[in-house]
Amino acid sequence: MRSWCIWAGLALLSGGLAPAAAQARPSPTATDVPDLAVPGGHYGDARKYFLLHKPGVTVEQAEADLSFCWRFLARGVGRSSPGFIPWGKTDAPHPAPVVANSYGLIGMGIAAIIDGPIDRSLRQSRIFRCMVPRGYDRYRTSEDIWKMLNSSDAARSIHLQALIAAGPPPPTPIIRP
Amino acid sequence: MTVRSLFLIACLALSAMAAPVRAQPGAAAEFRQIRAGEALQIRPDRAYLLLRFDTSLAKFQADILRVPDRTEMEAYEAAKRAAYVAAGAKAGPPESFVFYYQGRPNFFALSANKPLVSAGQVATVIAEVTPGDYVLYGEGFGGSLYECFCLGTVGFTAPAGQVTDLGTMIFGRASEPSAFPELAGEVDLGPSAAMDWRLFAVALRPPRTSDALPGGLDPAKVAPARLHAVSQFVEPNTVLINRLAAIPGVLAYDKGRVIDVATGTEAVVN
Repeated sequence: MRSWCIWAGLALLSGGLAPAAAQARPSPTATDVPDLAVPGGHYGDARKYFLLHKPGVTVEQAEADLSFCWRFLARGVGRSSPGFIPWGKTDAPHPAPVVANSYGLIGMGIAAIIDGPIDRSLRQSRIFRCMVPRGYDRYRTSEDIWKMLNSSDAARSIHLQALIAAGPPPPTPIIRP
Repeated sequence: MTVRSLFLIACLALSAMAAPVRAQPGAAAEFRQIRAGEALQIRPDRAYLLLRFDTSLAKFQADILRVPDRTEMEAYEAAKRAAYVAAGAKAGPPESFVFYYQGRPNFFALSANKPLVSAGQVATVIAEVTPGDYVLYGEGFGGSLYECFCLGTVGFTAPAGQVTDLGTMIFGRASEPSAFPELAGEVDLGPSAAMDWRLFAVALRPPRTSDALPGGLDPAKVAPARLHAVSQFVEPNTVLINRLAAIPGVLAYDKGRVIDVATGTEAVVN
């Protein structure tokens, strides 16, 4: 149980530094946006895998909104009290404590299975909570398309998603609520 | 609360238990929750916070932050620089350097698990704290921050020699409707608010004249908190992020922006 939890804690960190990973590649253009149709309706879990769209928003505004919300994606373990928080300063994500995994390879296998889904739900909860109040609608998508739009290249991911948010509504069902 | 949510909350607690023990020197001098049965003495050099929890959902904790002064921040920066230098090549980039400060603490939890008084579903707590400016930072369980109010919250001043009445903290499952009108806008958000880790909606109902005070507390020493809006802040060391529900006359939201209702302007982003 404890090993499972440690691995779950480690999963919190696996995407923690992604926002800092801006690359020097040229910004994507509309032609770089993948086909958003999902043949056969093979959508991913609607809670996690969604596209954002806001009628009337400009690419610049969508990019500003996404960049603002991307600041919240860094993830560490929940801090303990009492403690010190440098209010007004940035604190690095705290890693989960590392202890011996008494379940060996089996434990590592379980960890590999749960790592991605749990971390993704934490990440998407942040995007959901930050972007939806800003007036963005969510549309269903597949896990593959979502991964194309959410790479470790934060600047590229933000720009691609801004192009989608400001473009025509995606050809997939809207998610309500 | 689903079995899965309970299981993951248990994991959160166990992860905290697995963390190396980092005693925080001076913590008791900064924050002390008054125990049930303890005679409450209002010291002229200390401040007191009174908070009621609605426990109908669970016994949460309210996480508060005392805004550190310049001296505290300088001490923190100096200690962090020294630790960074001492870490040498293992330190990595400064922005990702993990530093556990052992100096004067400013982050505390008022826990509904240790009430001064309980009546029905309401647990009342009082904490003795250092006078200063505070931020209602988030909520949690078992001494760990579960959900920060990173997307909007309130702040208040706790003056010395006075009990500052914060009112009642109310909780709901963000994915479901709630009977509490104070949670409007923060609940019924659908299944995305109930993934592996459940999102909770939280409101702070300012004190009402009908709210009971703990026995033995001089009402003349109690004053309602003067709340003001606090804008977004980044906190990576939390499970989830959320915002405190809007409070009439104090805190509002406009397309995600935090509005200080008293001034009618957007609160300054932290």
